[in-house]
Amino acid sequence: MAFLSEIFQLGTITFILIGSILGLFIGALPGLTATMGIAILTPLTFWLPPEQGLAMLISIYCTGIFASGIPAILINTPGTPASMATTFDGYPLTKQGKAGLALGINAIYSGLGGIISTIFLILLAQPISSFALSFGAPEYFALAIFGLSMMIGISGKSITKGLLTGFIGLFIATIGLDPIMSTPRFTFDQSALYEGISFIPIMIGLFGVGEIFNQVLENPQKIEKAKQKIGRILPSRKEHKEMGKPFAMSSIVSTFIGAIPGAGGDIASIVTWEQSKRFAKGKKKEEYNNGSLGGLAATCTANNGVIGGAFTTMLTLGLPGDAVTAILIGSLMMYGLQPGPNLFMESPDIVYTIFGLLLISNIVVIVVGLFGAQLFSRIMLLKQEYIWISVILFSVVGSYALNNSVFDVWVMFISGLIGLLFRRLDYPLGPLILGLILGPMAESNFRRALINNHEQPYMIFFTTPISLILLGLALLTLLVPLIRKAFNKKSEAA
Amino acid sequence: MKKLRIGINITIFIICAYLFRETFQFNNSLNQQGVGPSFFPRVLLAIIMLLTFIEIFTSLKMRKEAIPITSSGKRLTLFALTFLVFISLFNTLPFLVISVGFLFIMGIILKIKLLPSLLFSIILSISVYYIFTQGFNIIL
Repeated sequence: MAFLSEIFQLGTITFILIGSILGLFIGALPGLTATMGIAILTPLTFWLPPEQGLAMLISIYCTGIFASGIPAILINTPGTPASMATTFDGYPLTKQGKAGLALGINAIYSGLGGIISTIFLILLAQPISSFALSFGAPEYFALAIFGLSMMIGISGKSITKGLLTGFIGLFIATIGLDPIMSTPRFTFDQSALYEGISFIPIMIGLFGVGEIFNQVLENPQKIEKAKQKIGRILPSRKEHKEMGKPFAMSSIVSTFIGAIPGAGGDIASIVTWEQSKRFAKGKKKEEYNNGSLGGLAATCTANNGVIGGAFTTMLTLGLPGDAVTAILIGSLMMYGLQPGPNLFMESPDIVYTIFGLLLISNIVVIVVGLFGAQLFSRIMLLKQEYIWISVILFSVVGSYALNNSVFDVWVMFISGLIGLLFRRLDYPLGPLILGLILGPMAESNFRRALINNHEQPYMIFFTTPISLILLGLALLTLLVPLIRKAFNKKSEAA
Repeated sequence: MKKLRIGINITIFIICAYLFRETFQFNNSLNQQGVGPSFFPRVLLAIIMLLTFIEIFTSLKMRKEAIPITSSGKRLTLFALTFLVFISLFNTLPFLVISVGFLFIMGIILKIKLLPSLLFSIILSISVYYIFTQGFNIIL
């Protein structure tokens, strides 16, 4: 029990709080990701004892992911890709004058998602990690296809429009060097295009700048009146009940997704939002994309829910579940610890310290989120024009900061114009981002699976059970809405 | 709106057709199981072209809707143009100079009064400059 005394030392608690404040800034500023923040701040923890250094890094991670939902809710600009799906219902709630409630849900369910996934980590670390390790190229391809099948669910009114933007996203992901042979594709001898187009400037442009352009075009006074209402922060008991099922589903699904190396909060939040919509009934289903509490709870839970999963793979197998845990593996090695099965035997105290820090950091997320909600939502009381100018400057600097490249700033600007155009023409933006995220995973694993299986190449996707189940689920996801639509038409005609 | 929608879809179709042609320039000599670097882009471009076709036909059935040219339309054009010039000059002039200058101009376009616009652009630019250069070691 020595780890408990180490966690509750004043020094460790102080570094958790410092990490939370830094995470809040990093997450809330579009363009700055938790990965970037942890990478920059890791050297500062070199001189600290392991429990204090890890306390700071883990709290930056947990708070950074939660905080990225704040700009997604208030100004429709996700702070990090993990909060892209938070814009679907968070921003409509702000438009309805319920910014306080949306921020409250973000704080509570992000924290709870993190806590539940940590409990999963403590109880089921071994079986989850061996499940995640059984993923090969066919399973990753099937996972990507399952994720892409969500395009229909997030397409809104027109499936064709959703598919069109989704496939455009998938195509953009093919620009640059191809993943197997490094053949340049659509690079036109421009060195900036060789590494492909980073999806963060596209996301900032589509959601942030595109929204600002749209608001400048609309009558600003109309928007201002609705937005000035902040409303209550804590959800009622009835609302908690409504969010119960999406929360439970999301915390389990996101933990498993987090445990799969390379799959993070961005994928988890979209998958859980779509699944939560699928299970919603009647009027509640129609609320999705228009300010659904269930949808918002599902995405907020998923953001922090992947953290426990990512730590599971990191601690038990020594494999990074996502980019942040890759950096954290480096930090543990710096302290002379080797993540992997032996870590549980050789340094059980440090493992329990990490469990404890994850739990406390997620509790801090709830406290900071709820107490800070009033303060964050004050942004909406500012004159609209000041917010627009601030978002523009943060979008420019945030896009530039990714690779110190003006090319990314141009990508952001062009994406902003496309975002405006697509908004005016009612083309959904979610599928485009989904395509961008999952495109590389789908292509590289499809080709890798074929290379590894010469004899019956295409059969490999149908002979491994996980791949078969995921492809079956994808098929169901695609067919069920179409069958339902046809059935509804028939019953209307009758 | 109808004309705009059709115009956009035709533009996407033409771009896709050009890019489809471009895929034949890729080095496919080492393709595996018939799936080389051009396979995915070709499939995706073909699907996009098909979907634009469907969209064009759907749009043709729509009623005509005129897009009114409003004062906010002109304001957006000015705002976007200022933004464009801001990015063009980014990295060529000192960050603080262009940031303060362009944010001030944007403020004027958005009808913020002169003094508040100037003060806001100075405070915001300096804050952002210090957060990114001192806090995150990013050279602006």
